[in-house]
Amino acid sequence: MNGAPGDRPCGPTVRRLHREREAALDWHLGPLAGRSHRGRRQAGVPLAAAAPAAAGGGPGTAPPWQRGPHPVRGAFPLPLAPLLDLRPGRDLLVLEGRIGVLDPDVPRPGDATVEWHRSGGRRVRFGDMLEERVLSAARLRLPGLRSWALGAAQALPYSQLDGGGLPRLPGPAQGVEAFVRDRLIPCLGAQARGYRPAATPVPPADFLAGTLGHLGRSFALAGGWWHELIPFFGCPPGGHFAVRVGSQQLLGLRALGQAAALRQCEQELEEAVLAAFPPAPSGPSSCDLYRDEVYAVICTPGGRFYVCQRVPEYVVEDVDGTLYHFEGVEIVIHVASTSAAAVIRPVCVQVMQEYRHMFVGHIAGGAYVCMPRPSAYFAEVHGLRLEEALLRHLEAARMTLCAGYTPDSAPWHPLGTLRRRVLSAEEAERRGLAVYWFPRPSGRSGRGAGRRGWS
Amino acid sequence: MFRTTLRYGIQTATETKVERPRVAATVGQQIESLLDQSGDPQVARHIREALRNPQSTIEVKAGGRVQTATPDMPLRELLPPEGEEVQITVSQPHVGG
Repeated sequence: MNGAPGDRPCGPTVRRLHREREAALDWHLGPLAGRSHRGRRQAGVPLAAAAPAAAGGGPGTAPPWQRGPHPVRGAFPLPLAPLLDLRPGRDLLVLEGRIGVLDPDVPRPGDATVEWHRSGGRRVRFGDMLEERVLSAARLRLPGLRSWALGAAQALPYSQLDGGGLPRLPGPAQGVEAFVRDRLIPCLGAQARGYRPAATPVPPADFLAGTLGHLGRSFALAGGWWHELIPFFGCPPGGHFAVRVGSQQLLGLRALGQAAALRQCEQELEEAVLAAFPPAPSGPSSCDLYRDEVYAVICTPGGRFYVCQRVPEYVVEDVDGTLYHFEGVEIVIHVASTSAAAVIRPVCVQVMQEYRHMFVGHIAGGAYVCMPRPSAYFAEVHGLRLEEALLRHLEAARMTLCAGYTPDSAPWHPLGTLRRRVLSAEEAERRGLAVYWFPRPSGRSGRGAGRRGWS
Repeated sequence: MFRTTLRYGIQTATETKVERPRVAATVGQQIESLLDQSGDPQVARHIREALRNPQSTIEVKAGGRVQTATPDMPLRELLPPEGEEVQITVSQPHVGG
């Protein structure tokens, strides 16, 4: 960190902060820890030599957001296999559109049973209609489907958030969408006059009608195969897939690999979703679920939810009195869970653009604000309601960027190496920019006298 | 008349109206005046603790502009000639690393 010639020597506080940060990275990255700062130091790579590339200004592979936005048809947010709860060894029967799950257990007297191809009697539990299950799932995921559709049709500014990123800690992932809709956005809206883009247009109730046609009204998923079933009378020809449900005999007419059959159906679903959400006109980001002058809540094309805070441009004073300009930036936190402990971590605030800053490091394909905090801070934040914890931590990140450069800080990149524009105090004043002065002990003369170093 | 808000980070300690002639001479005095009116003793305590730390940050937002300040700075110099809202935010140090 301070290995370059001319840097100030590390004091005990800086060395402690280094250890805390590396411990935080190891905690967070786990198997990725070898790519952290510690990995580079142990490999004997001078940190100052690594700084230009990590600062975003040097040679090397450009991070995703530098490669330019382009339409990305990401992973479809409504895959069929999880919807049908398909697992290895689990067979499924759909009879006239109604889903029947076959149990591996031996049926008991009174159980509904089917004579299953080459398996004898199997217990079956019929449940909801397949089309209704798909429609219900689609209604719950409308914002994600919309973002996916818009991302497939046009470049969206937040597409890069769907690739890479730090590993997600285990925590309740269900309910994130409801949390965003029912708690986070109302919380933000109560503080400011923000706008919510026109509510996600609800497509017609039958917008997915006909998309399951490839699977047929009656079919079986067994042994990794899809079998189209038709009623059959008489003795079934040998070798054909056959089942008997009560007095009804069904014969497999066509067979296809299960994955291929589901994929055909998913392609139909994708086309229906694309038609239901045509490309949006230019204007506010199509990913926006909420936006005001400070905060935003977005849903990426890949269906990830982020809360964002805009940091206006500002000026930071170096220890030698030089003033450096930093442009405004948006910082975000991925709302991957409804648990504050799983979401608010030592490294979780991401910077949305290429940003050369003392405390911004590139980790796992993303740019993150490095803000070491004592465990008491996280204990307090984890005890808050998630919406408050998110806003509190974003504000802490903003203050880290603006006012975190102090004698106790441990910059990833020395301020003077960031190629930031230098301003005079007069120009900063004329432009109305907030200047975050370097804190000095009171009584020391110089540009910073009378600023943050009061007694 | 200014609608003056005192905050600790994102938490509001006090929100009140102050007439321009009654604006305190310094930022620190205005903060103390607002703390005396605070309805949230916990946030007020946090602000007083932060003020004792020389590396804490005070931001004054007025007239669409944010300026950093110290307790001894004249407050009137930070206020625009016209305007209705003043927001003073006190933050504990957020050391980067």
